[in-house]
Amino acid sequence: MVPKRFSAAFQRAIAIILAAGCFSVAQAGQDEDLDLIPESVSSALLPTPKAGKGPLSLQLFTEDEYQYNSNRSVVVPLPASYLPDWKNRFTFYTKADVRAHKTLTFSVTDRLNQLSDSYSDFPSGVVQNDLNELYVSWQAGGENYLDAGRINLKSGVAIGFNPVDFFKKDAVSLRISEDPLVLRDNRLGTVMLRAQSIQSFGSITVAAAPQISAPPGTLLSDGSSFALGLQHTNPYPRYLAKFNGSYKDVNAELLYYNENADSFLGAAVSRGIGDQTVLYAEWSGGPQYNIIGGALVYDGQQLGVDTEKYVSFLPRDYDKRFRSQAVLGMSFTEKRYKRSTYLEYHYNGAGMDQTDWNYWYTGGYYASQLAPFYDQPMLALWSIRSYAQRMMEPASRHQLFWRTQWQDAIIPRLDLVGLAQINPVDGSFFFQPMAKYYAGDNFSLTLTMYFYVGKPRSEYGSVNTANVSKFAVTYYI
Amino acid sequence: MFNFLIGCLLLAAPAFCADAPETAMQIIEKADAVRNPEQSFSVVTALTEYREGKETSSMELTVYSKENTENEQYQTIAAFNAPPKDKGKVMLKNGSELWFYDPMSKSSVRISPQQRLMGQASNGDVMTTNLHSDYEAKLAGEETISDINKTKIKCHKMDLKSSSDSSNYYRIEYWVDKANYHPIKAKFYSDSDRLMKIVYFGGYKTELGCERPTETVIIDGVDRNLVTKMFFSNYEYKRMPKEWFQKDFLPRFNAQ
Repeated sequence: MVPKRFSAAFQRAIAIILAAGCFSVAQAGQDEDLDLIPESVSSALLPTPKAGKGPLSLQLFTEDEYQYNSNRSVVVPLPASYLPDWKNRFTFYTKADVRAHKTLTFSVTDRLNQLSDSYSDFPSGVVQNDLNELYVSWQAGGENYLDAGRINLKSGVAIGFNPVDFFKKDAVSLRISEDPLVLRDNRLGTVMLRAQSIQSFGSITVAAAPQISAPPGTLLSDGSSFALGLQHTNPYPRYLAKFNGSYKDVNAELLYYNENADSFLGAAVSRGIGDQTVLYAEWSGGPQYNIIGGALVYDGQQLGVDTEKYVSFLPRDYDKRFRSQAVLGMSFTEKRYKRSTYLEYHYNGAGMDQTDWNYWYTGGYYASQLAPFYDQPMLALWSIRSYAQRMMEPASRHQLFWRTQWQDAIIPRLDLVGLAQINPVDGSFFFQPMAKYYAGDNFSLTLTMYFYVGKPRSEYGSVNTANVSKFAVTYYI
Repeated sequence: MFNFLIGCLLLAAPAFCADAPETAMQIIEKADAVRNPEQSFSVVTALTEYREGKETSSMELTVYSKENTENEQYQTIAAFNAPPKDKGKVMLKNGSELWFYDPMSKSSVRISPQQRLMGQASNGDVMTTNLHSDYEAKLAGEETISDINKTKIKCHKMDLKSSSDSSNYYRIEYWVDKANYHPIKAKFYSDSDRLMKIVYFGGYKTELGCERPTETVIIDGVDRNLVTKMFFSNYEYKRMPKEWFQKDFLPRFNAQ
């Protein structure tokens, strides 16, 4: 029996002990979190800052990529000389911005490539230098700028096809990938004068690109390894005016473009939906040839080919008339898996419909019978498809596009990318899986494959290459 | 006599105010002010990611932040300084409009809030979030917990619940030092009440006129072996015109 006065003290003591116990349990719960921090993290010290304050900003990398092609026989074959079994590309990339004065910046982007393939003696090959950009920027007070030189002016919001990106035409001099995001990195700028005013309500940009006469065989065109390729980027006078602004969560870009006296209009809109999704759309319209007529004109003007010799083998729709191009797309992110997916529908009013394709296969079949003696008609048919690639637009009227990027997939530092272009009419498709492993902060290894899948008489089933394997090593300096 | 009494009461009023219990929102506002300078500023943020205690990657960003007076949220531009493969890339957050600019492709891609959070860069501007404008706060009592240096700190324990569409987490448990409003620790939860991040704030030093955290350790809530340590240095007040926080400025940014 415990005396009453002891009983009260005892109860108080028990209460204090229990309260202390509960407190220490709660505290231990929080302190357990601290145990998750390894000693190496706790003892890590502030690394030396790398942010440069100097006038020069420099980015350099080197890359070597080996490509093996598995070719196949198709309904419209290309001569074997166009189909090397393997290719190798070594690239040295330089991007430099020099701030010469508070308001004056010089910018240059260059890719020096050494190219070889199964028809050249390795490692000799050829050297091709792409001077992507070289321009000067003047900040003329506030956020108003004037730029002059070779500039990559890009527009649009979609991933797989940008109808409003008017300066993309014929700007890729070396097609190092089929991934539109990679091709964007690798194009030549246009010589232009650009003025831009960025205000709180949005930005206004106007650009004027002159026609530059670049006779074949000269430094301005293709006369040496260091030629500028201006016949591709400045073939006729071009003008652009665009406005970009946001209202609430909608960003809109409105464009007027004039090319050799033909006027085009364009618009690009994007909007976020929730925290996982972005919806976007692009449209442009104006007078233009379809890709068949465009290829004929291009072959005549740029390549100096006498198109009349083989014009009878081609499907007929050469009228220059109002045609639209459009994209409807969405991106979707799964943060938990570090995965982003883009889905797009592409419409190309200048692309080939199924009748054009049937004409292409039939014409190609007859042309292939002449091929041992006379391969111009077959080359003309393939030039239509290569023209669509040069213009960075789908060859077909309708196309579906899918791209998924998965960061830290399976193991840390491994990125997986899947990309597909699908012709919904004939069911054929191009599929590109890619794995990129970052073996350090400066070094990456990339394995890429291409698969062209479909019936023999289909857009992707008729490609001479069944599949491609590429391996690249990149070192960031 | 009456006037004397009134006078005494008026003189005593500030003392009463000072002693009046603070509301949860007042505590959160004061803790926000510790993390965020009152004017637009830039800070160099070095992030190192560790897996099972071994360094797996590192990056450095310069984060430029300006408070949008309309919604009290920060508009941020995160410019990548390192590693070399990411140098020159820029990420913009202006409300729920987010853009990612790559200098190699010279184009900006619109990204979703979740896409931004996938990369380490999201940790870079986790500091410049005004919790008081995005969350409803409730005082859950007092707790003494260990800070990053294992020193016992008497804290306000706060429960925060999202009150805005632009908030990245559904709820937050937040510990704020009772003595000086220094944030000590936070636990971030998703809308399915999944623990996403455990964050410890530390390394308090005087920066831009106030003691601010210069170190943060972030433990991944899902993969506990994944820990990120961040250092904040080179705090600077910076004039940032409104024009900066839009898509077309990003190619012009070039680490102003």
